[in-house]
Amino acid sequence: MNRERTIDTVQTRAMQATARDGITEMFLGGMLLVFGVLFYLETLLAALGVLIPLGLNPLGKLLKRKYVYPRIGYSKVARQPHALRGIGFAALAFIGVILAALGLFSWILGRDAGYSLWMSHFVPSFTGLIMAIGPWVVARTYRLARWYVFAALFVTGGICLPLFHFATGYTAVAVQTAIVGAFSLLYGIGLFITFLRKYPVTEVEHAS
Amino acid sequence: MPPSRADLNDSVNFTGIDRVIHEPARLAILAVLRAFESVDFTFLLNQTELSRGNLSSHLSKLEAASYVAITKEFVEKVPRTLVRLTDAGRAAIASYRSEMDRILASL
Repeated sequence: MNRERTIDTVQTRAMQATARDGITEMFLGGMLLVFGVLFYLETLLAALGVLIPLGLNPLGKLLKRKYVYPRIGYSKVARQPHALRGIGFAALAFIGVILAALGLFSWILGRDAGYSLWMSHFVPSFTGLIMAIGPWVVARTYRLARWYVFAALFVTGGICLPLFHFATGYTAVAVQTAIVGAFSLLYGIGLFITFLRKYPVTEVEHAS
Repeated sequence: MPPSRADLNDSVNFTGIDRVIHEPARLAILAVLRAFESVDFTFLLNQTELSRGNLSSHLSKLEAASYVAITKEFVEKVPRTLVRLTDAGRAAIASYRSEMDRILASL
């Protein structure tokens, strides 16, 4: 192994250390679960979902300060402008594909039939693809396999759920979001408990 | 028979190597810092697996070379030493990498 790869390994290991606590998985899970339930109950209620991260942010900081920093130390990951650019580009590309597909269906099958086919079969798949972008970027940045699993869950869920013939595509999206959310929440709780057991509180501070 | 030190020095110019960075422990510290905006002493201690004294001593050398900036603060009455890579440190790593590439390519 050459020196450059060793530097990268040290760096990757340090980045992964910041993701061991499971807090991100817990929050992603909680957010998706609440969003899915709201979306299932009433589509407009799901708009309230945008408020969830506002409430979770201070809670996340509190958990980090109380349970994470005393164990593995404080770290603030540098901003990744290339990752943000990647997310932006991928999201725009998907929106473009969605609009093109919707237009194509409407053009071939007529407006009503095209829209209906889109809603019942393709909305969950494209929602799954769009929701997979975030986990995929996290997986690539931190080189964490479990986030690839989340991305794959979104994509396969989106493709498979229409096979269960839900009343509308929205219902399928709500179910998909809630299932992935519940999985992520439970997994995150498991990671957090393991983290607390594995890393005892270290003696605070040092001499410099 | 492996080449002697004198033979190597004849064919490869080692003078461009930054000795502050070339030391493995300091290289590890800089490698960790490169991925973060800032980290505290405990985090560096866990990641580099150095002893407290060693880490302090290496950080002092890196600070003297202006490759890292060290600030102290109190969070809920607990002291915290924050370390971050400076622009000079970032540039030094890049230059060290290219210098090592040049040397390894010529060996």
